[in-house]
Amino acid sequence: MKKNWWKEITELYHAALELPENEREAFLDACENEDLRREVSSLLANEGKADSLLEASALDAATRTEARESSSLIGTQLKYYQIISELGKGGMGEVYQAKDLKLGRDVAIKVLPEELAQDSDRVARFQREAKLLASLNHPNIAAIYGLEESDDTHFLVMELIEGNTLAGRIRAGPIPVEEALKQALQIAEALEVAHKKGIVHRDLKPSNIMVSDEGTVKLLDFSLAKLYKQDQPLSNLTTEDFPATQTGAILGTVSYMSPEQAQGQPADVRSDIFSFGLVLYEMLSGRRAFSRDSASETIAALLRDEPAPLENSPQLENIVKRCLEKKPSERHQTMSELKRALEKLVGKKVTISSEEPQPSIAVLPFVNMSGDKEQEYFSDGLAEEIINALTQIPKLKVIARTSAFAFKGKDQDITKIAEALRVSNILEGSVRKSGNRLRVTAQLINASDGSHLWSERYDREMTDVFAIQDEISQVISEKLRVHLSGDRPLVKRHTENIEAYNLYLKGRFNFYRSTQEGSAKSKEYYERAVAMDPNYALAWYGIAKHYWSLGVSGYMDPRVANAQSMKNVLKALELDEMLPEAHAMVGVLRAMEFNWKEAERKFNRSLELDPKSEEVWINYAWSYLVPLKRIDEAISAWKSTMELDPLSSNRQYFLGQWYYCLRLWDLAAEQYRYALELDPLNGAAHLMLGHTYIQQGKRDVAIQSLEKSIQVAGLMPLFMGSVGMAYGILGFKDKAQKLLEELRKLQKKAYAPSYSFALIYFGLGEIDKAFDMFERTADEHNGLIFAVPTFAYFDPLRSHPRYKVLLRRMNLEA
Amino acid sequence: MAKPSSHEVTDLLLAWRQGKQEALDKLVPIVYAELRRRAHYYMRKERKDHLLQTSALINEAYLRLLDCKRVNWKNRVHFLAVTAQLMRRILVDYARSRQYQKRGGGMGMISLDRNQNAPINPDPSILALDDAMIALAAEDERKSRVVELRFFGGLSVKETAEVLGVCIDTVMRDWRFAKTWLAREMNNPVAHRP
Repeated sequence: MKKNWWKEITELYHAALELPENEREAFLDACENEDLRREVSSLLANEGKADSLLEASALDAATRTEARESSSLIGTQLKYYQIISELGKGGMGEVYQAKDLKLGRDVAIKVLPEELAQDSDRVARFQREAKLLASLNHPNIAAIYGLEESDDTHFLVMELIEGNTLAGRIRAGPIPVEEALKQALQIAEALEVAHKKGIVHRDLKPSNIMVSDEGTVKLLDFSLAKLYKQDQPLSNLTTEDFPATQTGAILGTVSYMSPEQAQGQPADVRSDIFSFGLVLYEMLSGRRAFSRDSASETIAALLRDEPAPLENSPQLENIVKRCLEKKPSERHQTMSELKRALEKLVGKKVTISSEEPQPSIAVLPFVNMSGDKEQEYFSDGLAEEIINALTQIPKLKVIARTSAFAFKGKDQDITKIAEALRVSNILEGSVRKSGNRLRVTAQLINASDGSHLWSERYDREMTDVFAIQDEISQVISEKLRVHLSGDRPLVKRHTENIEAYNLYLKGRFNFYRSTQEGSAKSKEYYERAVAMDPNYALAWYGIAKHYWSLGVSGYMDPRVANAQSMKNVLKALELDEMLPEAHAMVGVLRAMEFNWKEAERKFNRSLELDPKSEEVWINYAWSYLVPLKRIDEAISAWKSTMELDPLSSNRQYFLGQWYYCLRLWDLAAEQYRYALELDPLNGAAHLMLGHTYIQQGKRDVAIQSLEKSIQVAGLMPLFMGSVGMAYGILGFKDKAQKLLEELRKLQKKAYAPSYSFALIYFGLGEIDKAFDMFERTADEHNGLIFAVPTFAYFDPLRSHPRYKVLLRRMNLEA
Repeated sequence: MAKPSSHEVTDLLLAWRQGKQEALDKLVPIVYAELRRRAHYYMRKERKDHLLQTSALINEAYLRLLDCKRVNWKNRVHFLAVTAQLMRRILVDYARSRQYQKRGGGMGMISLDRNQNAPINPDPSILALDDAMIALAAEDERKSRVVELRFFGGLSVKETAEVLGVCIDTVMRDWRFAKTWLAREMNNPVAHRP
């Protein structure tokens, strides 16, 4: 009987296997013996799984098991941490409970996966990240005690949290609204604090959120996710790209991604806001907002679908919905905003200082009442001095000059201006200067209701100009309740010589015109200023900046320009060591000598003196972070300061540059277009938009943009090279040749940058000539060479043997 | 202990086959050491699962351990058959000793997922497999042998057919059925016989 039974099973099984899958069930139904039918049917159900079973040899299987087993650290000691038990395992490595034998406390230890630990670049990034995270001191964030290393094993030492993960709590069912709100607020508070420090979590999900037995929430794994970043957008992947054993883990991760993350784009605070929405949704409903059977379907859903409605509370539903907007610009823009929305629901009052909106102000250019347009340098200058003074107050958000001056000459309503700049206060004023007499009026306006908080008229001597600036700044700081203790004046006097000061303001005013002529004039004025007051550090710095700008824009041999620049900036620093921009300038000059260590030292000093200065950041990012390929640092710096200067075309343009370096074409193009919206004459933005279009394969619009760049900027030698290269790449060799001829003609009269020649040769496919010229660019210490290690259009050069040689000239590794 | 040469291993196997029990005592630590060496290598270099999964590599392990030239070719297949049996014994013992070492056991079996949609763990616990194979042998001795020869011995379908004295088709059918049956058994070891 038994023998027959077995025989029947095998025969029926093999017979069924002969048939196409969809006919098997019907075939089995014909079987009269119900037991037999069920048995074979259950075997067939396991058919698919059998393929992967026994695929490797026994020794291989044992090997893998052994590998897994022997990598466990339980019972061992890492440095002075005794590993006690395993707390969990994840894509980010294993987490253990350990005893700190020195301090006698229990800690959690997260061991970095080996593939990460072997990559010194990533370890270095991890260390920087850990340092930053260690500075996040908040009751709702798991504290990081340190990053340690023992025998090649790197591990993070963290606060040990007793309790359950939010994921575990949700598994037991939806969380009641009141409790969920309480927890959500704690999460929001933790994220708010982190975001204010420029830290984005990037991997917020219920399994990263601990809830203690008392209901205190603690966030784990801040910002570490990006160190494991996928090289390609997840949306391009299918489940087959994920090994079977990892499918669950990947699914768990993609379910909490923002659409932009899933598309491989950088995640900013708004990405955390999306993930926060997902977590809140899951807390309230007990189910994931977007969860499908496979990672690819889940991604498709989160890019496309609306989640099923929540039934709890319409107001909460609105908040969650807004968090889950596909477009970041349609979500809450900051965690503070989101938190306030949640707080309203609990009826909890907005309390303690950190929750109050940060006081903010924009100082508009003072109106020139002198009846002489020439005096505009003075009224502009006065407003800028007040901006500079107020910027020193840490708690005050002060809109940067470019954005504050964007409304100059446009008769805009104060409340509209405040809205565009996202500030709650506006300072406006007027200046009348005649001979030695000075009349200044100023009024501080509360933008929300247009009320005057303060106004004043000063009728004084010209020699009182600094005192007036200081008084205005002090009053503002008092009225906005951000007054600094101590009697230190906010306005620093760089000279006591009013005539020299006047000349300096004229120089600065001219430099801002950002034309060759303006720059030349600025130098004249600065030179006259230092002739009046040889101790005028800022004016010396102005001269240095003029020479530097001649070098980078290709109007002067950089070797000559750099030497002049260095001489003058060192003079400035000798007179006043506290000038952040001057330190950054030395940093740039050192970088152009490819002395990276010294460059970094100078940039660090400048950032120490002023962590917000646009000029410092542009120089640091372009001359240091870009050639060293540390683009994401540039991006986070940008994002954290952009709100101070939202209308600066240049700032938007540079963000585009960083995206371009990361090959995020859509984002880059968007930034360039935004920069052009703010300033249609931004030639560099036209140029780079063109290059981005080339990368996107949009030839026609690419050419339009490139030609537009020359139209608005004129035949600048720099643009000639870059446009010529693009022509060559796009196959318009004759046009490229023509620009090459122009450059040669120019060279007979003046300096023509080797870099421009290199670009055109490269575009024409004359690679050896291009390398000759790149090498010459490096030898001339032209900062434009910084683009070579990162810019996408140079990708075809990277495998060439001379590429390495070139990088070595720059003291860089290939 | 100096690294054993492959002919040393072969000699030990031959000796064991001739009934010398002490040969096994010498063989076991050699296989264990090889296992650890491979595990270490695997952890360092071959994190990616698929590298070890290609069938081309199946025999690699045995070729390292054995010097087949020392066995005359005709006997080679039968020799491998013996090795398969032995390898099963050694690996199962090793897994068992490992399980005792670890508190709570579990033997890296990362709990076979009962979820029907979950793909089966391609890296099954040797212990669970051994249990399932014993159950299979109770029903059908030959099918269990096919698994032993192929999975533990690394024999090809043709070699397996030769050892068992059946045709290639039979081995293929047995192999297919056995895999499915074992998969179900390991996935859901409940009574399914009448």
